[in-house]
Amino acid sequence: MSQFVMLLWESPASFATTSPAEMQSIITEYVAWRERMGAAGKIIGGHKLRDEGGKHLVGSTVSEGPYTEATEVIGGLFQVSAAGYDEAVEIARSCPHLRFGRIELREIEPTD
Amino acid sequence: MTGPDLELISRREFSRLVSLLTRRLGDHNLEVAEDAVQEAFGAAVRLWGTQTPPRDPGAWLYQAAWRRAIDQLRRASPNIAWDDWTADPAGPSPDPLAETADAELQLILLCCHPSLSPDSQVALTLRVAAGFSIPEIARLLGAADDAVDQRLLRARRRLRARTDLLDYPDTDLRRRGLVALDVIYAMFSEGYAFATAPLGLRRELCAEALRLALALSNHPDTRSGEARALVALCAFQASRLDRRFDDHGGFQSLRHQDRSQWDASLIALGFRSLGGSTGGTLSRFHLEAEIAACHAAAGRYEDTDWHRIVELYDLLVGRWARPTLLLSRAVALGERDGPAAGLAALVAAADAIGRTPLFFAAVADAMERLGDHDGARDRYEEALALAPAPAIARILEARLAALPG
Repeated sequence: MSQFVMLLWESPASFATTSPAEMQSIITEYVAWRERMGAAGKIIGGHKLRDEGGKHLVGSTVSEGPYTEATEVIGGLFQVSAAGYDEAVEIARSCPHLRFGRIELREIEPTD
Repeated sequence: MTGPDLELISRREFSRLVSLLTRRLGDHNLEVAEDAVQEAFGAAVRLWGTQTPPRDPGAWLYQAAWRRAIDQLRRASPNIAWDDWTADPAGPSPDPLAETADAELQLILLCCHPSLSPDSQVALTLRVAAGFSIPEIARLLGAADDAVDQRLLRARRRLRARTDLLDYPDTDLRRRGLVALDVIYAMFSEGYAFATAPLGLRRELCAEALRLALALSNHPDTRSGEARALVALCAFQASRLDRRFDDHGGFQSLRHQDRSQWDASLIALGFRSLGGSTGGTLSRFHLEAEIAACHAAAGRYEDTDWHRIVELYDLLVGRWARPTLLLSRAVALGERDGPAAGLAALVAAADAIGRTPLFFAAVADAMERLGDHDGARDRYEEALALAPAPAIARILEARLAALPG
C-alpha cells in the first residue's frame, strides 16, 4: 500500500452565504464519505488547517499568511492509503470536496 | 457520527456570537463581528467535514470568530498591539447569562437604529439579531438575493458612519425599544403571512421574533406594557401558525381550523403576557393581542365574541387605519351582524382597503352567503385575476369550483 495526501484547495470565501440547513447537509455528505472510506481503510486521517494567522517565510522575512489575499488556499487535507495512483484518484474523485474546490493528490515518497 | 447539528447550532448561536463580539469590539465593528461569525461557521463546516467535531461547538465557534475578527482588525490597523487581544477574549464574564442578554438587547437596538429605513431595520435584524442567511431573508421578504445583500450593505455603511450609536440616555433606549417592537412585529408578520417561503422557515422566523420580543420585554432597560402586549400577540398567533394551512398548502381560515391542534403552551404564554401588559400606554399591540385572545378563548368558531372583536377593531382603526385592519373590521362586522351588513361595510371601505385579492375574496364570501352566486363567482374570478399568493389562490379556486350552477 502506498500513502497519499489529498490537499484540499478552496476559495476562502466558500460558505460565505451558505444557509444553516445547507451547511448541515454538506457536513453530512463529508462525514458519510469519510466514514465509508475510513471503514474500508482508505482514508487514514484528515485535518482542517486553521485559516487565520498563516505565515509566509522567505529567507529571513516572515510575512502574514496566504489566507486573506489569495483567491485559493489549501484549507485542509486527507491522508489516503491506496494501491497506487489509479485507486487514489478514484478515492479523490468520490470526495465531496470537488463540489467546492479542487484536490491536489500527491504520493508520499516511500523511504525504502 | 455527524456530531452536533450545525444547523441547530447556527440558529441558536449566530446572534449570540455576533452580539458578544460586537459588545467587545464596539458597535462600529458590527460588520467585522458579523463577517467573523459567518466565516467561523464556514470554518466549522470544513472542520466537521475533515476531522472530529469539537466537544463544545459554541466555545469553538466563539474562539474561531474572535481570532478572525482580530485578524481583520489587525490588517486594517497594523500599528495597534493586537497581540494583547489574541490571548484571551476579555475572559469569562462573571455572569454569562446576563452578559448575553445585555449584548443581544444592544444588538437588536443597534439593528433598529432610527437612521435606518424600516426595510433596512427588518433586513438587518433578520440577518444579525436573528441569524438568517441572505437567501433565507430573500425568500422571507420575497426579494432577490442581490437586493437583500445591497440593502444590508447600505444599512451597515450607514451604521458605520455614525459615532453616537448607542450613547443614548435611558429614555432614548426606551424609545428605541419601541421602534424595535415595530421591527419585530414586521418580522413576525413576514413569517405569519401568506409568503411563499416554506412553512418550516416561517415557523423559525416566528419563533425568532417571539424570542426577540421576550428579550425586550424581560430586559430592565426596555421592559414595557407594549413589549408584553407584543409577546402576547405573537404567542397567540404563533399558536395557530401550523393550522393556517391544509395538507396541500391552502390557507385555512379561523372558521375551519382544528382548534384542538392549537399550541396550548403558546396560548398560555399569550394570556399571561397580556395580563401583565397593563399600566403603560395602550398600543396597537394591546388591541390586536386582545382580538387574538378572543379567538384563543373561543372553544368553537361559533363561540367567538364578535361584539368584543368589532369594538376592538373600531378602536384600532380609529388610531391606525391600515388597509388590513379595515378589511378585518368589515369581516368581523359581517360575523356579528350578518353578511348583508358585512358586505355593506366592505363596499363602504373599498377605497381605503384597496382592491386586493383578499378584499374581493371577502366580498365574494359575503355574496355567497347571501345567495348571490353569480356575484360571488365574478368576485372570486376578480380576486384570482390579481394573482394572489399560492395559498390564497388554492382556496379561492376551491370556493369557486364549489359554487352551485
